[in-house]
Amino acid sequence: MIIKVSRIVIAAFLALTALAGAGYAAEKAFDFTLTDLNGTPHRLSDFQGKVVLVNFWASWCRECVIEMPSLNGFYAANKNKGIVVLGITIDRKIENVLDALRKTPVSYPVLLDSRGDVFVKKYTVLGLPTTIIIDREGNIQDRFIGRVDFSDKSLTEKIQSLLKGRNDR
Amino acid sequence: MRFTAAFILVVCTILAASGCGPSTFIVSKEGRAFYFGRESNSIDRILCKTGDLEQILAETNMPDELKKDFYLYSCTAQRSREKIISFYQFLTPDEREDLKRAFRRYDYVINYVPC
Repeated sequence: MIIKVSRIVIAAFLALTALAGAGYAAEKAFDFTLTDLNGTPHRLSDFQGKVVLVNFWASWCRECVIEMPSLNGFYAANKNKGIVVLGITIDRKIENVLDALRKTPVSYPVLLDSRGDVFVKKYTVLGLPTTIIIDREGNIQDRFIGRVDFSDKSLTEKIQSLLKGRNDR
Repeated sequence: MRFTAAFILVVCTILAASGCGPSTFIVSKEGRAFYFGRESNSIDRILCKTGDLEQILAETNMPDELKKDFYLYSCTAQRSREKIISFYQFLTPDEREDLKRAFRRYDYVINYVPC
């Protein structure tokens, strides 16, 4: 009798777990269009099929500027492998952005969000710097608040797995 | 629900020191403190319905759009703790100082405790 009840309980548990798993839905990344420093518009959804790292930063944010060479190195090593990096600055004055980029040059596109349409209204970013990793289907896989070491092995492995279309989450 | 400013500050400090809970953004006046963006009759009565927040924002140098957003996330049906924290993160250091000074002129103190 006890064994029978145990089996029913275990079966119910497994069924509920399967149902919960089936109901899991990844958070879809909000689409946005922002212009870069040359006025060229960039739309997030244009990069569907690629892994996208969206990095929010500001020239006044020391940690952001310290982080940028690491992100730039990551971009240089992976840009031909289906990885896109978009730097989004929330600076109001473009001269501050240009000054920061003169001191810390990056080769990935830097987009301007001086009204906070993406930072506050769409992504409600809670700290600087913040990096959001979006998979090839346009789902948010990770959010990192604070400085990230983009040469970290576990992070690069995670991104590589997203490139291969695996979601280890 | 009422909290004293001191109590909330102590809790926030402990959270920040202990390596964290959520970031907190509070406004206090006359020893009472309230969370920005929280649905609360008290903050609504003191900060919003008196017109204080509108006057405070009018005295800042923030662009009009940002003033509107701050009011929207603090005093309307769209109030949101996350949005108001995100908004504060969005402000430049100069804009934050300017905002703090404007609040101080109306005997309010604002405190942001990051995590």
